[in-house]
Amino acid sequence: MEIDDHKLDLVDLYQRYNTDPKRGLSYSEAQKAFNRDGPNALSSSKTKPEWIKFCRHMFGYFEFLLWIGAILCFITHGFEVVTYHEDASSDNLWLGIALIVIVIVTGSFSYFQDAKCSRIVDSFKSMVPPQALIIRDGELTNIRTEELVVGDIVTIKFGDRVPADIRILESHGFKVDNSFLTGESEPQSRSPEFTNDNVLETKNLAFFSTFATDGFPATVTICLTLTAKRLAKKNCLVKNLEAVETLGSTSIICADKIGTLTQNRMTVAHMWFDNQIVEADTSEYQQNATYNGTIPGWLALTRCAILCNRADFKQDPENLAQPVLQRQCYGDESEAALLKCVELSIGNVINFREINRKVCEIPFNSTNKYQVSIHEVYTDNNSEVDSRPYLLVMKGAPEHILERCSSIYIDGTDVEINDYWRNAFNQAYMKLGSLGERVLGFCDLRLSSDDHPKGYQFNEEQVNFPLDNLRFLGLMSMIDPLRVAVPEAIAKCRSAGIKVIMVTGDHPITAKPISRAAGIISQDTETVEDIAERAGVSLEEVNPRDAKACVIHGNDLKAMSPAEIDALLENHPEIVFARTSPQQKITVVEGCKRQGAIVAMIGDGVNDLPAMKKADIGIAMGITGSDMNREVADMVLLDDNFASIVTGVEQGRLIFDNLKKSIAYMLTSNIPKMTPFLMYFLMGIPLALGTSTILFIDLLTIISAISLVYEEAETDIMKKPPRNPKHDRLVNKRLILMTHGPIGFIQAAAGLFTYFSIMAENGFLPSRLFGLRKSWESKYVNDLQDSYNREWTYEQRKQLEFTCQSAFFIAIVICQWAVLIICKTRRNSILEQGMKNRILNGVLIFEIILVAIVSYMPCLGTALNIYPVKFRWWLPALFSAFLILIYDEVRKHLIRQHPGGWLERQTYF
Amino acid sequence: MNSNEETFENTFLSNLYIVRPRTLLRSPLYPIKDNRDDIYIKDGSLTGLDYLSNIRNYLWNRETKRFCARDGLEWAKFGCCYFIYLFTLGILFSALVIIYMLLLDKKTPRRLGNDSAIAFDGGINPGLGFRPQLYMDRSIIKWRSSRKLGRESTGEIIDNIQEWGKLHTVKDQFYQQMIDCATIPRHLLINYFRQGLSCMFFVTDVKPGPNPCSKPKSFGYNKGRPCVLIKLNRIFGWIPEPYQSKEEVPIEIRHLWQPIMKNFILIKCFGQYPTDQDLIYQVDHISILGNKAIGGIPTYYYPFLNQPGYRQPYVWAQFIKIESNVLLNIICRAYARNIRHSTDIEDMTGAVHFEIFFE
Repeated sequence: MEIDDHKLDLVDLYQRYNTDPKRGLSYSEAQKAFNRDGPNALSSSKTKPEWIKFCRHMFGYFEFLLWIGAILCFITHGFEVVTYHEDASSDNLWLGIALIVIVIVTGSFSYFQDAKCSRIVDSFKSMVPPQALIIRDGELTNIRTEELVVGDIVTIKFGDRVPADIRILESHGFKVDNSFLTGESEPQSRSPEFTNDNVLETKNLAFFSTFATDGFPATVTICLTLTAKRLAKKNCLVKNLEAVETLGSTSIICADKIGTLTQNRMTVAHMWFDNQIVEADTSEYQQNATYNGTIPGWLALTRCAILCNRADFKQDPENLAQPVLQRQCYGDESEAALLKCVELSIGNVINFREINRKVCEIPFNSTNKYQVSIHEVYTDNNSEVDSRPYLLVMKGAPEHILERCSSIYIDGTDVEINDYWRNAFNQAYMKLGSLGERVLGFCDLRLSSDDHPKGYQFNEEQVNFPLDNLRFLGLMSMIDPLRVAVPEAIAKCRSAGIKVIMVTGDHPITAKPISRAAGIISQDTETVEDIAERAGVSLEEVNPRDAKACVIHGNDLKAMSPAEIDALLENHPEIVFARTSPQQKITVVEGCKRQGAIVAMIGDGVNDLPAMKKADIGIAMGITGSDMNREVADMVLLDDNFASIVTGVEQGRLIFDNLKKSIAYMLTSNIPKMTPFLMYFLMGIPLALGTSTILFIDLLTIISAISLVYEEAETDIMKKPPRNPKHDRLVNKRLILMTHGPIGFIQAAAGLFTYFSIMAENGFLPSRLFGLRKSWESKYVNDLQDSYNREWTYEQRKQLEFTCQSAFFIAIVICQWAVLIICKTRRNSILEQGMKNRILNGVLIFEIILVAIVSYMPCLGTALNIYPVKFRWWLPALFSAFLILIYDEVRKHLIRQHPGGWLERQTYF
Repeated sequence: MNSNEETFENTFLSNLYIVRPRTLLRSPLYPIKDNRDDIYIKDGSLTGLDYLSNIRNYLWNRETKRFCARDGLEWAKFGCCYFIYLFTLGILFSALVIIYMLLLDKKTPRRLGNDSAIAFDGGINPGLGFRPQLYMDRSIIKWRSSRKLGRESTGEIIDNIQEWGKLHTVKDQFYQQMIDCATIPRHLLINYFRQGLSCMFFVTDVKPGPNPCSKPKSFGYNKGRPCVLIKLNRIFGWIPEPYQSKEEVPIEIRHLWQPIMKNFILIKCFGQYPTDQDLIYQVDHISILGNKAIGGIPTYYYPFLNQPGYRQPYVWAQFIKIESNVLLNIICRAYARNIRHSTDIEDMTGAVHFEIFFE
């Protein structure tokens, strides 16, 4: 398809798509285009057909081996038929059929599980529908990207995802990440100019972004998907399945402050007027007020806050219908906080501003550090209006405001400012500042009618009005409050051995109190500054090692060498990085990774993006986070609830623990499976376990191992430190030793005892069995003598052998039953853990029923060479199963009694 | 730090540090303590040489005297625990096995008759055995004529038959107690058997007078007239039910049946396939029955109750005239009501197969 949209003139382009750059498409036209073209989404044609997926499960590596085995069986059977005609034995035929049945059963099982998993993963994608901000019918509206149609005018800001293939009409410093299309890792700049015939090269086109996902082996997928599903219920969306496990081994969480730990919503917290600090009342109905709402000092302060304020509520009815605190505002966030505060306490702010019309204004800038406006005051008293029609209101950095004042308004009278008042001011200012609050000072002045009569032309350029000798009114301080669940979640992370580090762009003075409130710096630990203040010594005299906590300024961080950063991270369990740039956030994450930690970075802003990418796992906020954050993150907290992370960590650890348990379980059957072969080759004892029974054991083992994935967490899961991924691997020495050693041997003993007993009861005492292999296996020995001088033909002793093998098989299955129960826990007693895993319980029952069916249904048994075994042959195995339970309970008990002891170091996997 | 690193790099092949990346410092289970001087903490990832030296030091560390990361004391503890564990388990296992064996009767197997694995779905069916059987994994009887070879090649064969039959020639303590079952009424026999007595069976019982299948005659092998000993497998408590009328007898031996055979298990050998039958010109059966065309074992030898010194009755099949330098497939079958025959080549119930090859 030829694309020439990038070559056309803009006017031609508008005509072609019947659109307008200012008004966009009309709704009816958009609807028409939508009906014509369908949704703006990738058609699903590139997904693989189901039958190919099915075949992939049927012909995987392991399955392929089984197929080859089955085919070989059939070929052998074919030869036998050709050679012996109807005399051919059907053993190979049966084995072949059994192999095929196993492949088909396991293949279908994993296919259906996989299909289920991918359905779940797909459903995750629709949980964060990408949105696009477009102009339709002259209005800015948010729609889902699927609803975009050709001709829509789209607006894109920093961090957004390009919602469709677009032609750029206007742009400022626009860069796109084209890496998935062209492989260019650097962001490419884009602008309205047409620069190249090539669609990909030209600067005036940007393309729809996509991302790809990858696959895992079926068992792991089941495990991860189950957890992802569980987490999704808790509004914790896992985009990258692997992330769940990574989160489980996370040892350091780096959290951005604004929007992550706090609500990103400035709220007025305190006020200082009439020489007292009062708590601001931000409740909806003002029921928490600690001050009288009619005192003049407060009224003057609020009047100033109303007038000297450029913030305004967004004027759409939906927004205005919301509670005041949740309304969206235009303007600076601290002004919005003031607006909400006064709207709550006084009300009708907009109306009040209209009455007291603004006549002149100097907006805030960083050199002045104040904002001033002059209003024509409305009063009922004509004489006063005539004398003083104008009111100047000013707010800004408190110290700058105080400098400009000569009097202070106390208890309804103007008092001259002297050292006493300056001191009082300073104390209040320091106190509010130490709470981590942003403090603003307010002052006003009635302009005299002599100098400024009614109709006076104020000019902000020439400043033809006084800005000194004003009247100080008071202070108002604002804070971005902590999210509700944060302190609790951080405490939980702490007890789980996870270090929480705050990395924020805020000033240290703001960051420190918040981190104390959040528990990132706990109540009884001190920073170097705290120690110095307490001891009354200078900072240099304090040994930095005495301080467990520290607050590092971004500038200091910049000057540090990697070794210094390492030492810093090692020596201080509680760290806050303040005033950090995106680059320094990366430095922090890198430093943590150098420590061998698995680092999770939680953030909501574009400035956190590089650090999120650098970290082992990036977590984004679903509501406050930008599109780009959600795009890059491995995990999204849909409800912005920090506590979900704790759940995530728990689930991640659970996955690891459960996989470990699964593997331990699978390995325990190795020794009992191997012993018969060893005894066959080394001691010449007739084979105690056949190949078909081994296959059958493996099948049961896999099913049971999967059921362990559904196991609940042990009680200590969030009380132990995170695992060290370099050292504490899924399969380790202790796990192998434990599963192959004690537990394996008990099982083998149970099987062998059963085997020897059946042999002995049928005439072959153990002494007779040693070295018997050659004559036992020979088809030409038709008169093998047993311990009772009986003579056995080949067929007869094979029948005995298969009976023994069936008993051995049943013994292992029964022991595995007990092993499955002990594998439910690694440290806890099984009594504490309980039998709440329904799937596991089902598997236990299923196994017994299946074994009973296989051994007592004549036709099924012949296929697998399994013969009926009397119930009393189950008893030795039941005894062993009991022994296994006792042994492991005792072991776990000792491990619990002596944490970190010798037994734990040798056997705790 | 730097100097430390340099010395390490220079001398690492001879030093005995275990090199660990810094990341292991925080391991929850094996935290590396600062005072462990056998561990060198390295920043960054390990090189291949580091791994090599780690493996070497893991296997044997001269400095700390550690083998596989455990020193003598730890190995002793570890070994002790496993020894105690396995010893206990072993003792328990052996004790249980031994106790179980002690509970078993030494003379009578626990599982008998249809309860035993020896019985198929249709009950017990005895197999047959043959001698000489020189090889465990083949059923061929192969020898060379002495004329060609210039010396005896039949020694092994004769020894093999002698070895099996020697019990029948010894006059041991059991021999003194043996009874002549032919003269005792059938209903009394079982009581004698239960007392541990068994029937006499002499080599001479098979054929009174000169026997072509005897040691002095090399069992016929040097003359190209091999004798093969056929015996019915001993099965505890099994009692044969011979055919009682000509009509019941299988078609292949019906023409040979005589009423005297009512008390005999009949045994007959013949070529397995038509070609074999053409090449075997004459088979003589030498048995108590005294009929050359078919052998027979009297039923008074049964049931076998594992009597001490029990002498297993047998039948000789002498191949009077066979083709030389041809592999002959022979099958011998036992005939009685309660002996079934299978068509399966591998299923030798009620039959035995062997090959004869005379060079």
